Amino acid sequence: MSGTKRVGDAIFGCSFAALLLLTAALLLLPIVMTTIMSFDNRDFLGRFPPPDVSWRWYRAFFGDDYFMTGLRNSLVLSLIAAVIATTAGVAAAVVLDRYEVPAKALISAFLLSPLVVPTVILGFAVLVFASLIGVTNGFTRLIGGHVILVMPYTFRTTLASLVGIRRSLTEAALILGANEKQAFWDITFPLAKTGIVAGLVLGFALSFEEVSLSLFLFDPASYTLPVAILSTMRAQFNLTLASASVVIMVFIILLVVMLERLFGLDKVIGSGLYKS
Amino acid sequence: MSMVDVSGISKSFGPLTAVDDVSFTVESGSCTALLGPSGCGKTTTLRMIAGFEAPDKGRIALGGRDMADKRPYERNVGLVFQDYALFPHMSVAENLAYGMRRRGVAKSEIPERVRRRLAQVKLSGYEDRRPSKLSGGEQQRVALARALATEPEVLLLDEPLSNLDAKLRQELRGELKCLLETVGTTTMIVTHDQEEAMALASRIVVMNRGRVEQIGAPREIYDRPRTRFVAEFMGRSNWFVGRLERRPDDGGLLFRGETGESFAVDDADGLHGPVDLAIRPEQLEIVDAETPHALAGKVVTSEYLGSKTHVTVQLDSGSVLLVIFNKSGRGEAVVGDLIGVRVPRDGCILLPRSGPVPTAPA
Amino acid sequence: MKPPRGALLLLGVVLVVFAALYVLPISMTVRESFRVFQPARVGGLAGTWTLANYAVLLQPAYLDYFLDTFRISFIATLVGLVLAYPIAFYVARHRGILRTAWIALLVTMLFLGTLVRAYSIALTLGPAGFLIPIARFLGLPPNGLTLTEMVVIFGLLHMVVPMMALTLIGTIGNINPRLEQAAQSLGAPRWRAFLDITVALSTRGLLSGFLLGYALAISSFVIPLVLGRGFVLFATNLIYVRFQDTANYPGGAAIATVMLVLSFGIVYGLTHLVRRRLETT
Repeated sequence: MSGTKRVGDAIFGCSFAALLLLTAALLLLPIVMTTIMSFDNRDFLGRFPPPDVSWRWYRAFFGDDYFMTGLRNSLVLSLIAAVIATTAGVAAAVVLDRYEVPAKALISAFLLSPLVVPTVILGFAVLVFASLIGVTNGFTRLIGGHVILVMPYTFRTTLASLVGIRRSLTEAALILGANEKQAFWDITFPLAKTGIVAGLVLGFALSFEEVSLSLFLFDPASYTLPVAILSTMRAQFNLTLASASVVIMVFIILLVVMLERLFGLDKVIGSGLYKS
Repeated sequence: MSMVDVSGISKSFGPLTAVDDVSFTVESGSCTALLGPSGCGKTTTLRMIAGFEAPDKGRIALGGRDMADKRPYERNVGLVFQDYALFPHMSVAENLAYGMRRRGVAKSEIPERVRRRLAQVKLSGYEDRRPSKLSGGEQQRVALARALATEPEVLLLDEPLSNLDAKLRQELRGELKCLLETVGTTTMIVTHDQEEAMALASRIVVMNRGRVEQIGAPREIYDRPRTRFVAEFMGRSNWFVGRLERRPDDGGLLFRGETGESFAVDDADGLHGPVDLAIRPEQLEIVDAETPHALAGKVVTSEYLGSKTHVTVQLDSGSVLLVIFNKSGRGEAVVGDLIGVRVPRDGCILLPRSGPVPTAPA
Repeated sequence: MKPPRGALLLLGVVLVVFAALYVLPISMTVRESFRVFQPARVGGLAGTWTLANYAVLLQPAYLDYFLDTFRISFIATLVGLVLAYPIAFYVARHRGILRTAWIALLVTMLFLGTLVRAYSIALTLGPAGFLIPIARFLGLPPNGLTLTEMVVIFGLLHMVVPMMALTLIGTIGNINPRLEQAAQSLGAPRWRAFLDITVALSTRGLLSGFLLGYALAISSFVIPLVLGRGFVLFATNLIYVRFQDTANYPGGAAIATVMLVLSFGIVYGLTHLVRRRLETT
């Protein structure tokens, strides 16, 4: 009897591992392929694998004004949006966490609700709004849209790190003579700093690679790198996009590593009560 | 003059009434304990005195000044939190200095005052340590030093010894009492531990379910509790239900229990008729079975606990009593022994009848 | 502790900004969906009220797109759940380098976003990649609808699996591993203990994970746009197409409103209902 159970267990174990392996392969395959193809020396899109390697597509990417303007715009836009969103998100999180605010849960849910709205709709809605009030400047529209996109994330991350800071610490500061503002800057902020910065980095990364939102809000003068890439993709499917993708991937990976160093990825995902 | 004057304060959180019409005063320089089980409202009361919550009704005055609408930092109060709340990103010295800086003490004076306070709590040289590297007892002392550093009018302590293990608690209790007496600040302690309250405070406010049950000196509260709750909370009791009568021969008081026991009691503060009677286990004495005026019974259990022995006795009348005696008492009490229990005339707690009493020692 | 006036003011400012950038645009969009569309005009005709924009969506041409969106997303989310669960289980129950590698992979995928991955998949499964061999292997026409749908599903998996895996890590993390061990000590083989205990206890997490994943899938834009090659379109792509071609604000607004109601309905409504049902059992 135990023999069949053992066999069952073995099959279970094997298929489990196999499934994991398969999923990992499926998730990694496109990325690996793209990276390899980005070094393809051929000047046309030929079959995999590339016979010869070169940096040509990277040179094409970095030498292309269209992409470089987009890159610059993206960096500026995402930085500004992330900073605004972090300030707003931190302000809201601090007030909601430290004090008894009426309808706290409702306000919290409200501030997190953009997470549920498809980004396309956010983009479209901001566009509708902007058109109807006469704002035609692409950059302004983009900032508006990206701030709303990012704020729920900065709010959530800051709230998560504030929750870990005991209420008694703020109260101790208050009873020792600090007013609310001083208590925040002296006690809460230093302890929440890593969480806040993590939110900033997270917001920046999300804003940087966001395309469906930007697609509705850009104008010929201000477009983002993802918009440039998407437009090129629909016009001509070439390998400059592969090198662009790899550049973005490397950038994002660097940001994730920075996040891990600062904050610890475990906190980003939340591991439940029973970590084995 | 009273440094703390609390009159008629009440506080509710939604449908829950945490504090209900509580009033008491604390004399300048004295130490008062708010004592009661969890949920009795003592912590809420403390928080209202500190300024973290505002009372729905009533008035709080510190040093004669009404504290309505005063934020915590506008009150001259020191608070030692239950979890100590030491700032983890600051050193011990910086923790102590924080209150002084915020209250405008001259920068040049601060290091010397920090040094003196640390010496006062026997932590000299700890200036540069981090709170996370301190033991529980050390953290507690730093928290105390920090609260005293701002030279407050009133010092509040929230369960100061609960986070420490039993042995440490006893040690630090003595040190704490010494320190409080040396410093002389008006002090209020919130605790659920009646030993702590009795050891440290000169007056105890016993609270239950948001209300004040009794206010008095420790001895008064222990020997003469005025309600059933206080009697049961302050220590173990053996309860009897019965009547107080006058003896025909000499006019002395006699207690006649419903379960059949009867013994003489001393002055009962004018009580007469139906009463509840409680006797502390350590007041009872185990004597030989034949001793006159002793209640006859049999030893049911006997627990030797080193410094004391706990014995439960089943009386012939059926009641079960708990008797506690230390070494200088009877010696061994073996299970099954037939013995007598002597009730001291002046050792009984008498309360007007108020419903069923526990049949086994509480 | 009651908040001081300054704190409430701060919160108020944030809420006002939020309202301006979020509530107003969305409510305007909903309002817009009821306006009459006039070609070559920015925005619908003010002051009008019509249900025409919604009626149009019930026509087979549009309805089909909606049904496609729901069907394809459902398949993708279901498959994704089956793939995500083992990953979450591994991460929640083990320690070591492999676990860290998995977390790094999942988080990176989440951050990487849809565009780069859509392109990568288009490249990998496109004509220059493995499309022809796979088509031949499956016996399907390489440019046919079925294969394209499979590619879109593959793309959706990339988006949905990391997200669901990360949420499920929390769910499984909350299940005491000793329960499984207890089942084993009572005689159940590992796979039974796994199914009977861990999976059974994860039902709530599985359901909300599925709903969240589904909401995400039906809202996806880039993946169907790039991988659908024009003949698989999601409702979100419809918004873009309608808008791009004819600047049909009201038309786009109607689709947007429908998708909005659906997303909110699934995430808040259904999840709440499901939780309540599961709580009473």
